[in-house]
Amino acid sequence: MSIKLSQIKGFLNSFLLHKGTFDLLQIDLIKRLVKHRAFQFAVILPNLFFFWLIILTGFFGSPVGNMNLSITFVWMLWWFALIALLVPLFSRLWCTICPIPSFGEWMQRKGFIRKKEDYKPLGFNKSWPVRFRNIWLQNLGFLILATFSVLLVTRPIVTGIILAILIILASVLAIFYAKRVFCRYICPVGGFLGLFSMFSSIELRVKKKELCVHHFSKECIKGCETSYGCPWFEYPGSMERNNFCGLCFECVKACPFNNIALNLRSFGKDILAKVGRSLDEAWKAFIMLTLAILYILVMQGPWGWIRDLANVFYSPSYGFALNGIEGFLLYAGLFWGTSLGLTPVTFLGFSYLSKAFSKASLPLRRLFIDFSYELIPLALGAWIAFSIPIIMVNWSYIVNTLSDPFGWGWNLFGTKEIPWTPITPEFIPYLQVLIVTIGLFYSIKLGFKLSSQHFLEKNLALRAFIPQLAFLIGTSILLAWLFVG
Amino acid sequence: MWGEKLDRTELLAIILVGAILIGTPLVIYYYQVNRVIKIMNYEKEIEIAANTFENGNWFPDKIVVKKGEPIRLIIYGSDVAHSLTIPKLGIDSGIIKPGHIKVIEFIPEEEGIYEIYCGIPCGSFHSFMIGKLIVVR
Repeated sequence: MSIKLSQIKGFLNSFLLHKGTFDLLQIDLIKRLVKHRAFQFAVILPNLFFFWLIILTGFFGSPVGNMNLSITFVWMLWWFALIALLVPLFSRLWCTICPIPSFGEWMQRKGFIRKKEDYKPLGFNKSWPVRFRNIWLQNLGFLILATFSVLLVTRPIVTGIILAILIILASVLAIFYAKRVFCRYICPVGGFLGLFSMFSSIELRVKKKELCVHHFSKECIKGCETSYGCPWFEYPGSMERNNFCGLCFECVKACPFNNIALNLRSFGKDILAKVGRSLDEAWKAFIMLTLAILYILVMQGPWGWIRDLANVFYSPSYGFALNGIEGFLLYAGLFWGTSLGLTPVTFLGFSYLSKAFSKASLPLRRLFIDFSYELIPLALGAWIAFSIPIIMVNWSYIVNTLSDPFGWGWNLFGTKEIPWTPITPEFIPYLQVLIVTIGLFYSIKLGFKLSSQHFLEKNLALRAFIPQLAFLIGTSILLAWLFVG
Repeated sequence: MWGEKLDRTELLAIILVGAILIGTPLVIYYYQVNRVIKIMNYEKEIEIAANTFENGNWFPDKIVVKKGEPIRLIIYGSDVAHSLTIPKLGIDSGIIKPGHIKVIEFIPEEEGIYEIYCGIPCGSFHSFMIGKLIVVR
C-alpha cells in the first residue's frame, strides 16, 4: 500500500527523462483507492456534510457575510482552493468530490456504492438534445450568476438558495436524462472548470490507443460488473483533452487491460490539442478573461460607485450614480456587453490582423477560434491573482466561522475571537502581477505553438502571432495597472 | 438496492447519508437551544432577543412592566451587532455582539408606551426594528 522507493525512481525516470509524464496509478495506494467502488462515495460524504452545513447556515445563520460559514467557506476558502490549487494542479478533481449531482446519480443507480449485475438505470434515461450538446448553457448560467455576484458573495441566504437550486436541478435532470447531463451541459461551474482544466498538470488518458481500437466490448463506456462506465459521455480511448473528464475513475474500474493512466504532465498540454475546438469554448475564454478584469475592477478597485452599481438593492450616496435597479441594469449591460461583445469583437480584430500579417488563406473563423485558446493561461492567472487577496486578507473570517458557523456566538474550536489580520497586504499587488506574468508567459508560449500549428514556416507563424502578442501584453498591462496602478 | 435486500455496504451508506442530512440540523438545533437557555435562564428576568427586522425583529416586540417596579432586561444579540435604546427613558445598552448578552436595570417612573430602537445600523431594514415597552399602573 505504501509508496516504494522503486516507484519514486519510476517517477523520476518517466517524468524527467521520458515524455514529461508520470502515471500516478503506478502508485499502488492511489490505484487501489480509485479502483475501489466506495472511493467516490467516501470522498463525497465529507463534502456533503459541508454542503448541507453551508445551506443551513445560508438559510438560518447571520445575514452578515463574514460571520457566516456559507460565505467564508464558499466564496473565500472553496473559491481560492478551486481556482488557485485544484484546477491548475488536479484538473477537475473538484467534480470527483462534488455532492451536487450525487442525489440524482444515486437515484439513477438505485444505490450508493455497489454495482448490480442486472443494473438498469432508474428514470427516463433520455438523451440530451443535440443542439444543447455544447457549453453555451453553462456560459449563460455562469454569466447570470456572475451578474449577481455582489449579492451572491455577500448575502448568505443567496448562496444557500443557489446551492439548493443547483442540487434540485441536478436531481430533476437525472430523473429525465441519462447519466451526468447536469455536470456536462448545465453546471455553471463546470464550464470554466473544463476550460481551465486544459491547462492542468494532470490528465486521465489511455496508455495505448490501439488497444482500445481493437477492443470492442468498451466497458469504459457501457460499464461492467465493477463499473457503471463513464457517466460524462466520454470515451477514454479518444480523449485528448481534460474538458469533460470529471475524474470519477469509473473507466479505471472498468478497463480489463489496466489501460488507463492518470498522468502528471506539463502545464497547458490540452490547449494544443487540435480536436474539440469550438465557438462556445472560445466564448468561454472571452467571458472568463473579461470577468476577471471586471471583478478586479468592481471588487478590488478603488471605485466604490462601480461596486454600488453592482448591488441591485443599494441606493447610492454618490450624486452622479443611478439608483438601485437603473444602476444595476447599467452594470449588467456593461457586464454582458463587454464579455459577450466587446472582448470577442476586439479579439476578432486582432485575429484579422494575424490573418492579414501572415497573408493566410485560412478562414478567419478558424484563426479566431484557435487563437482564443491562448487566452486560457492568462485568464486563469487573472482569476488566481483576483483570488489571492480574498484568502490573504480574509483568512481570519474563515477560522472565525469554523468555530461559529452560524454567527450565533458559538466558539466550538476556540478560533472565534481571532482578530482580522491580513497577511502582508502590502505585497499582494506585486504577487498578483507576478501570477499574471506567469499566465502571460504560458499564453505567449502556447499561443506561438498554436500559430505554428497553422503556419509551418516559423517566419509566417511569428508574423501571425505578432497581433496576438500585442493583445496578450496589452491585457496583461491593463491587469497590472489595476493591481498596482 | 431499493426494493431488494440491502447489503451491509449500502445500509452503511444510507445510515451515513441520513446521519448527515438529518443528524446535522438536529445536533445544531439541540446545541443552540441549550446554549441560549443556559445564557438566558440564569435569573428569572425579562428577556428580549435582538434580531434584524428581516430575521424577526425584537422578540418579544412588546414588553409590559409595572410602574415603579425595578426591572432587569436581559438582551440577547442573535444575528448581527445591535444595541437596545429607549430614548425617552435615556436607556442605551451599548453594542451587543451576536451570541452575547447585555443586562440593563432600571425603574420605569411614568406610565406610557415607550418605543424600543436598535441604536446600531444593522441592515437594510434597521429603521423598522422597533419594539414597545408598555409601562402600566
